[in-house]
Amino acid sequence: MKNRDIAVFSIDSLFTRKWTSAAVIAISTITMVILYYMLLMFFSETFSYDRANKLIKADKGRLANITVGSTMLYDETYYDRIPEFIDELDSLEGIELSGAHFTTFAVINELSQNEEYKKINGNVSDKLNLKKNPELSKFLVTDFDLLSILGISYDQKLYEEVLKSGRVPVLVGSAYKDIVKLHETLTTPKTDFEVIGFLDNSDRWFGAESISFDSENVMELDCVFMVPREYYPKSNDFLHSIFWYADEKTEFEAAEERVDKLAMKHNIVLNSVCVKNIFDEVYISMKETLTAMAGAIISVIIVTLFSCISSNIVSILFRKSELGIYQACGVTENELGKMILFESIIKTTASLLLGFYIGIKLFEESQYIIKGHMALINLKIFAVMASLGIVIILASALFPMRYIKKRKPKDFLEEYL
Amino acid sequence: MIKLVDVSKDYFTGGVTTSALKKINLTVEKGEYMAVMGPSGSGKSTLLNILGCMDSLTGGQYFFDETEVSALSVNRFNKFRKENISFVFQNFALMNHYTVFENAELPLIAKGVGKKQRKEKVLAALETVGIADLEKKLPMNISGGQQQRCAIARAIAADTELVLADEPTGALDRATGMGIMDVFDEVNKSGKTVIIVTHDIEVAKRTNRIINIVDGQIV
Repeated sequence: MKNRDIAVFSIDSLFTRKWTSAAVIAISTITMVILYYMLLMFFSETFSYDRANKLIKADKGRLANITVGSTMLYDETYYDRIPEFIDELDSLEGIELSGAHFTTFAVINELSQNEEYKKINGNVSDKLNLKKNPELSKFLVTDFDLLSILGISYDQKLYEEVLKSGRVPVLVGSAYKDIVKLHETLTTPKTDFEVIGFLDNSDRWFGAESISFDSENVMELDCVFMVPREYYPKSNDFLHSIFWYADEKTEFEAAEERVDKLAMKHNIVLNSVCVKNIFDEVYISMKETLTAMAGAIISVIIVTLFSCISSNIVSILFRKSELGIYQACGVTENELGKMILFESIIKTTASLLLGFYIGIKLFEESQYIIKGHMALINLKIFAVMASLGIVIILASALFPMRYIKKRKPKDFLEEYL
Repeated sequence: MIKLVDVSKDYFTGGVTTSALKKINLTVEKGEYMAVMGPSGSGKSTLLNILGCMDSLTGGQYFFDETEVSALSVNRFNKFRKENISFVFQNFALMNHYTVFENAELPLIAKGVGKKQRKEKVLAALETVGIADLEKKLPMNISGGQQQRCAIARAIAADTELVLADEPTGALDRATGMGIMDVFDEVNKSGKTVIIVTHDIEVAKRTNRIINIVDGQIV
């Protein structure tokens, strides 16, 4: 029998038994969706970890951070003292200044023209005003990289695309999830912003949950808009952190003591956090998560394989007499096996592609609900999923083929004999 | 043409061995028109399965012309069936989603025959059995007798030396059944060896030779 005719019979059979074929594809697709979703979550975790790891290694793993706590902002002279403090910090023995990071809160004043936003943000003081304190500008760096350390990440490509488009990329506090959507453009008289991600309720800015601009107005991190450094000249409000690291000869604790003394001298209250320690905590938690996820993924792979194989075998059982007729007409077991293989490949490939598409879409939607991560699709993930897909296709086809080969033609023709 | 030497077939089910055929010896000449009769459970269908290469022997030898069929490898065994044997079943065994033409065409597709040649052979076969005008009909839209003619046309189109029929008139009324036997008469006259398993003595009488099987043995 020609291979072309085998293929024609296979395709024909799929359409003749369209409901059985649809049921097989549907069952397989459901398991594929779950599998791909879990794989994407797994890779998303490892991607965040890899990115954070790079940053930590780049800073020799001894990176520390001073976060401005809310207490100190009650003092209006803070902004006069910060530049001096930073200069002295840089010259402390055993300490090197890595940089100061200023996260600019998006133009709260502009966006607060919208009544909805105003309800959440309230009135924000302009104390952290770069125009009033221009010396702070020398410490500005890209803030979005830091977010990776905390596990918040965003799509760098999207970030750059939005910047090029003339809109300002914004990370939005989770309190806004019911008000704005991902990729939504927030239009103000002066500027257009595009939402590229959400902060989760549990995100913390190196230990700080909130920032107070005065004793009456406390802004929670989940109520903020965060814009990148490139936009800073247009923004009015800041959260700033100063990064330093201890040199190789100095222990972190000793260095921290020196920094604290310096801060006291300048009457600044600080909250020092060793980023490496945070990273270690994140790493342990991530490792546990990844181990649990790996176990779950293996279970889902087994279930997926089982469902694809068994649904293909069951569909053969429904067609015993048809397969018997083929054999009575001279189709050999090998040719019948090829026919089944071809059908299984078509059905399983359809399930794979559908599962792939739906799984990715679900992941993109849900990641904003679960973690505030952007979807992280890359070549590595596609390669793993495609390889897994090929294994599933082959296994789900080979078992039915084996089933047929183990039986004699008379077994399929019981109805007629 | 066909020679069975001490052929046995046993079935093993739940630890119990059942002998369906017990050292059968049978010779069938080329072009013979034979009926196999026997009560239910006598081994008629098992004999048909063995002759039709649908099942393997437990013991003995099966010769078809010069070939020892029972000694063939699995692949060659299957190929042998394709080249030499056709079947006609009691319940017609047609594909309900294929037309009369497409059903008759199946063995030729299995043999890898080209489209043009297939068309010629199938039309000729349908003509022989008298249903050439029904080629585009589906089995569900034709009568039982016509369906059985389609099944016979399939066997004719396959152009095999041996045609095996298992109760070909069992699902038909007397008159229609005799019409089918007329077709088998023609098939045999064209030089093919026809073996029919039947309970019906009237059907058996249409053949040139009747053998009886009782309890797995030819009597």
